Amino acid sequence: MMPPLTVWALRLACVHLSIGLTVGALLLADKGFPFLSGTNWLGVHLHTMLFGWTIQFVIGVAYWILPTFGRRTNTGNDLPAWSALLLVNLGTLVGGFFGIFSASAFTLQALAALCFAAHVWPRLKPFGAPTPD
Amino acid sequence: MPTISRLFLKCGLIYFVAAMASGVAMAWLGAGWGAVLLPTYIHLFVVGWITQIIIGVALWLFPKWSKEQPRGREWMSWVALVTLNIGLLLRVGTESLHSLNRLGAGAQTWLAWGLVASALLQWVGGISFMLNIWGRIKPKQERKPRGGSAAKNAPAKKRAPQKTGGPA
Repeated sequence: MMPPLTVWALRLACVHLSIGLTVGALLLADKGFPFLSGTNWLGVHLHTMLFGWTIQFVIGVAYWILPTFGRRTNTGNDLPAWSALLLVNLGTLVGGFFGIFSASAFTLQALAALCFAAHVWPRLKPFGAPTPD
Repeated sequence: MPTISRLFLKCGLIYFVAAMASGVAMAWLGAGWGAVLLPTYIHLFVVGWITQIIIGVALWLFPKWSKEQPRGREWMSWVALVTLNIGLLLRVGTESLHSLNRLGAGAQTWLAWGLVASALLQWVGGISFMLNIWGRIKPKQERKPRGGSAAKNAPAKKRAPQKTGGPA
């Protein structure tokens, strides 16, 4: 079974998948028979599919299956992991609303990457490595 | 590994090679063709390879839906496999030709309908996967002690000594 953070990440990833996929399908159909008016459709598609779906899914699964500290439930400091989740979703929303190359969206995603790396780094350890106090 | 996961992963590997090959083609053909082939290349890579690998591994490793149906409504996964792949192949066949705009009006219309069909098929594939996997994203549950609360409060039983094959 999955920890709460993984459940949140995977379910949000599924929501982003359905939004990104719908917008992507509309964009592809629009190539054949143009009907979409000039809004940030490509930005919504890119940010939801790349960050909201793919990256958030990877974060959720990594949090679930990477080695823990002693007990299976002890995943270390969870604050950076929750922050990463929040920032990824915030960044995706900002990217969807403010354009494909929105600087604030990419800044939020970069901060999410930093938080995720900070959480996961100590969990990348060899078999039988001593648990840090 | 279940058949459906193996098929998703093998299709993913084929698209991985195809995406790399179209990348090589783009590099050799120059900037003009590169612009035409870029959307196809990106989607071969991201939908064909990355998404199908994610789907294959998720269907294989995620918690069971139920004892009777461990992988949920399996027909939805098959729908996802078929529609996603036909949709993507249709895209590969139609998108570049349509953007080149070198065929007659009738052919261009057919290609445009091909794009619409591809969009619809890929959408159906992705949504089928999403609906099926949703039920397998399960939170952690507390393990119930056998026999309910009475058993929980009862003193622990001593294990019966194992037979060691000594004299009877």
